[in-house]
Amino acid sequence: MSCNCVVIVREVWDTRDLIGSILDEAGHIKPGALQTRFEPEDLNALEVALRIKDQQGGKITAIAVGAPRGVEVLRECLYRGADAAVQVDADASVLDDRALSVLLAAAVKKTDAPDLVLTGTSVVDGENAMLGAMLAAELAWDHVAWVDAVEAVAGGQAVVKRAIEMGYETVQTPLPSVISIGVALLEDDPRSPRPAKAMLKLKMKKTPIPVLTPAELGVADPAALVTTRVTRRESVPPRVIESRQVDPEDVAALKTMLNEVLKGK
Amino acid sequence: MAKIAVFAEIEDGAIHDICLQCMSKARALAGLDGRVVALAAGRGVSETAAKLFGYGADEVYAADHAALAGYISRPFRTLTAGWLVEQAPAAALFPATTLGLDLAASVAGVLSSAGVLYADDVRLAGDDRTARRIEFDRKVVTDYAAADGRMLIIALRDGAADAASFDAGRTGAVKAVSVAPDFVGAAKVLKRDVAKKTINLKGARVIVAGGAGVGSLENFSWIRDLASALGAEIGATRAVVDAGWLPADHQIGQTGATVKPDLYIACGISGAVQHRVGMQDSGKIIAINTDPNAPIFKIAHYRIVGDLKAVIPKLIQLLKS
Amino acid sequence: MPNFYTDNRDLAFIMEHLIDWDALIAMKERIGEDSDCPYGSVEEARTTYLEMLRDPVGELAANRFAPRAAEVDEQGCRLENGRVILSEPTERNLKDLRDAQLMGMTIPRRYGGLQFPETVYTAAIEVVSQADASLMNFFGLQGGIAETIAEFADESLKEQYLPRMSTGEFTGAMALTEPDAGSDLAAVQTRAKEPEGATATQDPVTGLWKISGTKRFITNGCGDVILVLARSEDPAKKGGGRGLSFFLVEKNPCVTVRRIEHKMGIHGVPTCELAFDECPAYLIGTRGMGLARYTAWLMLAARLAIGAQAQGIAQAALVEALKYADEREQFGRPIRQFAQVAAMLSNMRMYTEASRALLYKTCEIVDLHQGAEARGLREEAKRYGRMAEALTPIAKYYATEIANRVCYDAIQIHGGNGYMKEYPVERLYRDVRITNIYEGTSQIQINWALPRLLRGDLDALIDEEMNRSVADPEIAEQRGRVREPLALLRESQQFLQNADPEYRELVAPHLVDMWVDVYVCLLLLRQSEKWDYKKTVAHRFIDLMLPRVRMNREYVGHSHLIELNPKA
Repeated sequence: MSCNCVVIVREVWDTRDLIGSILDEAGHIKPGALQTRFEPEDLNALEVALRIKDQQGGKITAIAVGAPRGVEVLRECLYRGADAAVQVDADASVLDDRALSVLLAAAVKKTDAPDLVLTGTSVVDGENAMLGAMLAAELAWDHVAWVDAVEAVAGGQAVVKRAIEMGYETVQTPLPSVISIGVALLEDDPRSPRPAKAMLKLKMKKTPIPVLTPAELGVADPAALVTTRVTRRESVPPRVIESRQVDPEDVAALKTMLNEVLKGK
Repeated sequence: MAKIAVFAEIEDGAIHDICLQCMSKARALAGLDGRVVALAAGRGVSETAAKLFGYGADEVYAADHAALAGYISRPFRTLTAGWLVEQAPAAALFPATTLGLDLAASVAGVLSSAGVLYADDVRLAGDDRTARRIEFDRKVVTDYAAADGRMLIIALRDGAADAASFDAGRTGAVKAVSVAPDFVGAAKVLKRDVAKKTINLKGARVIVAGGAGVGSLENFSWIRDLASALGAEIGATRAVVDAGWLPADHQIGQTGATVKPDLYIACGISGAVQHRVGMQDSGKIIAINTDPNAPIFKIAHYRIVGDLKAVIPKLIQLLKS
Repeated sequence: MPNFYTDNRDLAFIMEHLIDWDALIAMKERIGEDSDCPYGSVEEARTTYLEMLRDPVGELAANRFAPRAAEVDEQGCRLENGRVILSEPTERNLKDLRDAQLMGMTIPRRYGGLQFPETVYTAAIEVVSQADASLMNFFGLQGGIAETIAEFADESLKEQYLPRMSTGEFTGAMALTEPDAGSDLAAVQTRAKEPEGATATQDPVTGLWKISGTKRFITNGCGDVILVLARSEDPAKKGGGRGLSFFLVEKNPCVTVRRIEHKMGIHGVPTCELAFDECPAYLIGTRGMGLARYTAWLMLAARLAIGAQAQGIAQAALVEALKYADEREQFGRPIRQFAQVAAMLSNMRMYTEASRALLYKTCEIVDLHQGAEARGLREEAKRYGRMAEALTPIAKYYATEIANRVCYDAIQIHGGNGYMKEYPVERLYRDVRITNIYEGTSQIQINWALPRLLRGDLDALIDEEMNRSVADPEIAEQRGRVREPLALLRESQQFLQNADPEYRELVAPHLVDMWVDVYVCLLLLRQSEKWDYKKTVAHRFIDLMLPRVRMNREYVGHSHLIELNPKA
């Protein structure tokens, strides 16, 4: 049975290995202080969709909200094997997950009969962590979050493996459903999603990506849908860790270390 | 005089410890003249839910259905959203567990409320309903205000508040929730593969933890030996649990425990962010890893670049002498 | 996430700022003319090339190939009942390369390839080799083999084999070496029997030749498409190299892998002894041209690839050494801070960049040559062709020797730890050792280059750099310092014009080294115009090179061979 998937992808701030303050005096993020990257769990979601397609066929449509320059991730999806991409033309930087979910739900409905909508669950800090759940609520579909693997799609149901505290659950969810993928311990080790395909990249680099405007999605003013506003941002003073290297060959240094850490015990 | 709602996650007759933090936070936000209302949902949760009075609830509701035995988004969100509409609190607190995070986001979606996950603090002052979160790799603290006086829906991060203490004198009658959950055609949990909690990582003063770099089940004996020499608990990364070297109650990190021991010894742990969030506030961190570029070294007080098979025996030797 | 292309700043710098893409693409692509040309502009072609190096090439190398490299090395290949079994991680690497559609990087588009320039392919080979040197022998030799078919074989053969090489369904091997014909390929004994009935025909269907003999040290000898050098002519009439022709053999039961070698390094790729028994074969091109034309062509491509392989290994060793020197503390500080270690690290970096500069300059010339040939520009084709033939062996020689030295020093920096299997430098040291041996030893490369240097085939390259107008006074001053060594070089070239051939061969390494030293300085100075950091690299290189060129001048003028024989 072929399975049509929609994958919601986002370009997000790369918050790893930040050096120095990323805010200006006014508490805004300094331009150029942060790079963006393909949201890693969204990339996992795409990989899950591609594996479903590899195994049982179907069409993959990638959807992203943003200005044309903010949705290069869509082309990255095409290079990896997605069949179509749709850009929802709205300024994602001023929208919250709730507003995004309304736009995306309308865009998903315009995609012909998807069986699954896949996206990343969250990043650890919580930024963009609500999209899958809110999208499912808006579509009135079932939702399963923290999914590590989609094990089967058949008979109008998908069977997925979800990570929970202290273990896993196997969940059966009816089609269509929204599935949010977690850090995804993909079977391939190292755990990295597939890279681009060279021939596809050559072919797809100029493929026009269809655009949907908020008006076409029945939303007059996306900003009016926003439920949370950022009222203040401040830098957190970096934690200074006194760190030092201990030579494993140096028994005296190891001893000093143990004495220090076990002091008073 | 605020009214605050708490979603109480109950499993195997126990209230989740982050929910107890939510209870104390809710009590503090509500003030003496405000009201704290709590909701429990699941199979056979009513009896345990009664304890929520002792933890500070003024009213407790329970949705006790066999079909709610496993967590599923759709029935839980319709049920919870319906109850919140009836209660109309200023804010609703959920625990930042996999269940609580998903339910908070789902409910905020249904109600078009102001959702903030992994909140570190909440502030209510009249129409100002604000949640605070430390984000961007702990570089920035951001305040999120609910737009247009909406209900604030929060998933409280573990450790954001002290757990509520139990007052046996506070009791009351648990009310049934009037909203019927919608089970028709919904997803279901087919299988649960969850470890029983046998150790108390959270209370441990010293933890020796192993990651994938330990290499094998046999090599894990080194971790055990070091832990026993130190009188420490044994922790692990998700990779170790997945490999079946240790049961899941040893797991530390995003889907495991969040710990703050005085001493944390990370052996063969590369330090992916999913693990770091569970242990980075430890008093002192010693990291042993063969890869000098492992991210764990960025938060370690003592960096030992070397093979744990060579290093650990030396440490044990020193501890014994 | 690491990326072996973007993380390699020097390579990315050369690709982005140094290669003359305008000239190169103008030669290799007919933008707006060819209907199958996928580019609307030179800029678009350039962006596509560089983007492809980032993803998939750099991504795959860093995140899939590199993490598997130790396992590949440990498991190696096996021979079971005549079948070669590759290690499981190698199979996964090959699948990743196929999935990423990278196996036909230089194969023409009409046969399903990407039709990328050699420059881009060579960069990809470097990046892949940095992750896993042995994987290069599948990925990096595919190009030369496929190009030889594309260049010289019949259309029907091309259609039969190239599309399947593009997808990676077929991998290639080149069967040249024999037990008694290593460097001296004119001694090849493998026989090719003419098709009966027909005279020397090239028709692949009716005119199958039959090949019998033994080939040795065949890299990926279990590959699907084997190019074989064999004796087609009667030795009495046409002996030596003139009696050899070139054949294509598709893997079949008449070719057996007799054994695979137990090698010091590149364990991931099998090195096979092949026995051909009346094995059907297609003739490629013209009879009797096997050695002079087709093998020579194939070897040039393969030498560039091996140079890139060495370059990648050197990069890996450099990265490991820098990392270790930063982390390892002795006497209370990182060992990087000790003068001798710091000097070693600087030299490793400098020589790695020096050989990279020469390698990619060579690629550019090779691309311009191929482009000129394809366009039928005879004058340019001849000029670039001569340069390419002289530069390629020098670049291969230099890159492989430098890489050996860099790996040697990387172990030294690791001290005792570097001698242990736990650290990757141990593997790199073994892997790199073959690079200055196979596809022609360094000595063979030098012998190949010497007459071309003496003929002045590369003089124009140096003149071009010396005559460039330079605005930056600092660069101009440094270039002034190259005048003296250049004069010594020219003097030595002159001196050897009429020297006895034995003597020439004896001092050839010194002359080639002089040439490299002078030309590399100029390339580094040119890089300085685009990146300030390179000024320090060029400065250091010139400081070190001046006394060396003087010394080599001495050797060129005053060497004599005194053979030492204690029994005499």
